[in-house]
Amino acid sequence: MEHGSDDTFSEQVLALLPRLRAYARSLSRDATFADDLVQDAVVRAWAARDRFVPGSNMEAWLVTILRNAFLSDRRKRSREVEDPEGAHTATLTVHASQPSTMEFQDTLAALQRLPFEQREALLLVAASGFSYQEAATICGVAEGTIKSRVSRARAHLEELLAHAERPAPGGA
Amino acid sequence: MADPRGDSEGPSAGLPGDDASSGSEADEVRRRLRALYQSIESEPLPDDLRALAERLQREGTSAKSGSLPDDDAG
Repeated sequence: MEHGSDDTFSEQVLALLPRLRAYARSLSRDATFADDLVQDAVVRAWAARDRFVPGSNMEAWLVTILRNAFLSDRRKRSREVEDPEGAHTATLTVHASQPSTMEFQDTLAALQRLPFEQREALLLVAASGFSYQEAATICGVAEGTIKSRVSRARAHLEELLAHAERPAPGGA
Repeated sequence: MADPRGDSEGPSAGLPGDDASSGSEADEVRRRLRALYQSIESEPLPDDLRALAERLQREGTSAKSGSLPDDDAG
């Protein structure tokens, strides 16, 4: 990428910051960690901006960088663990500005109970709006694998959300 | 903020290839996820990210080979 287009590059990155935050925050319920991830991804993207092909999908490129940073950190610190009972996620930090609606919290909590591979596939396709092919490229797997993960994730999430909305027997 | 993809529904609005659940259930999952995204996207950037965004803007405007702190892309 030519230096003359740095301005455009930075404008595109800036415009995508809220989208990156949404992806990171949905991937990891730890809001502080998610924002660190976005910051790390942006710094990496800036350093690697010469490798971005103008006209290609900037959001997919940034999400791929963010995902790599997430997985790298996860490997290093084992910080993000599968948490089927939600015990770990209940202890994670939440930004003071984070919306506190029940639906918001229920959806975030349910997402964290999905296996990572299902969670990221569902987020990329159903929330970020990537095609199956784009999501497959980002995750480095076959398109059919993404379709399968999305299908299972969606069914699993529906079940989790249904339980979240159903009052516990006996009240309380 | 406008959707940078120029398509508020995105290419997967219909979750192409869905085959496990009814349309209404798929719609509900998509609605919940998009509402989650919209809530987060509408939040103001935290201080650290806002500062980074300002630095990025300055770097872009100067159009030099400047580098943001902690460059480590390999």
